[in-house]
Order: sequence, then structure tokens, then C-alpha cells
Amino acid sequence: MLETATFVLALIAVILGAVGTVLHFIAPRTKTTVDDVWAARFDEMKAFVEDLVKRLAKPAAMLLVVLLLAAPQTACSASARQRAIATALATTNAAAAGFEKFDSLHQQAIVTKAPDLETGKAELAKYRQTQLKIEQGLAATYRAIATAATLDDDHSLAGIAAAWAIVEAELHELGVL
Amino acid sequence: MSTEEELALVGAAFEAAAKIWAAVRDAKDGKITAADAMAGIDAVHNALAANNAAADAALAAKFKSEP
Repeated sequence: MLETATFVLALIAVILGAVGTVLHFIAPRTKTTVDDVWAARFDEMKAFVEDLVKRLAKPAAMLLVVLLLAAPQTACSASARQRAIATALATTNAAAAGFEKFDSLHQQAIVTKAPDLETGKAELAKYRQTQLKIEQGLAATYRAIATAATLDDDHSLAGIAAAWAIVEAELHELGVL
Repeated sequence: MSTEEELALVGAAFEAAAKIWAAVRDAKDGKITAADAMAGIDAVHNALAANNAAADAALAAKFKSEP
């Protein structure tokens, strides 16, 4: 199921990539109204996809927080707690993997755009301040999960939720979530 | 940033969102140890360090070849 969802979304991204490349290469050269209209439609479509990404990820991120905070209140709280911790780890791993890929592409884009060596270095250094914040946030979330797994109490689940909220906010600001 | 690069970033964000959604939806019961969680810290650090090294090398290569 995971593979199917990822494949479909990746396929949409690839199709949009192909359409976008064609339109943006053709439109400036031919200068026809039809191509310009399609280029404009593509930009609208891209904005829609970006919005969709946020709509897709936001409930998942919120669901994790709800799961973590609700676990102690459930009838079988020990089992619910373990499930919440396992979910938190899987989610954090997924977020980390997604961010690593985004990070690689984003840094490549900075290099491509750089007009000279000094500007490129400065832009990379600037971006890496954000990268460091997200890395520290992910590390804090992993530590909170480790603490919850060791203590196995209700209070530590709230610690994961708090750490995850910080990471989620940082990723959202960057456009990953 | 070119359209291809922009879309690659959107694609990466899409994939990340799908994976997170699936991770929450498909999570199963299982005992997680502290070591499982702590391993994530090193994995993230190493992956980002590799990305940084690759970007630095690409930047150096780009301006080394230009006059």
C-alpha cells in the first residue's frame, strides 16, 4: 500500500515535470497565445499540487500528535502507548527520508543558480542554518522517542508530540510539509 | 531555479508527504527500543553531511571549470 501511494504521487510529479518542462521551453520561443495559456495553466496546476502536498501531509502530522496524546486515555493504554511510539518512529523516519531528498535537491538548485563561487558558498551557508535547525529538531524527536521507549510512561509521549510539532513547523516553513 | 528543479522539489515534498501519511496509517504494534530511535540521529546526520559534501564538491567543480 505504501508503495502504491508513493508510486502514484511520484508518477503525478513526473508527469507534471514533463509537461512543465515542455511548456516552459516551448512558450518563450514560440510566443503563441496558446502556449502561454498552457504555461499559465501549468503554473496554476503546480500551485494546486503544492497545496495538495500540504493538505496531504498536515492531517498525517496532526494524526500523530493526536495518537500520542490520546494513547494514555485508551482502555488498553500499554498497547496503545507502544503503538504510538512505533508510529512516531515510523513517521519521524519518513519525515527524515523526505527531508534528506529535499535537502539534496535544494542544495543542487543553489549550486546551479550560483553566479559565482562566493555567492554560492554564502547561499549554501545560509540554507544550512535552516538545515541544522531541522536536523536538531529531528534529533530531539528521536531522543524523545528513545526516552518514551525506555520509560514507557504517559508523560514521555507528550514529549514526542512537542518535539514533533517543532520539526513539523520547520519543515512546513521550508515547504516540505 | 529552473522549472525542472522546482518540480523535483515539489516531487520530493509529495513523496515525503505520502510516506508520512502511509507511516501513520500502516503503523503496527511493536516494541521499539531506545537504540532503534537513537540510530535515526546518526542516519540523518550522515545523510545530510553527504548532501553537504556533494553540494560543496559540485560548487567547486562548477567554478573550477569556468575561466
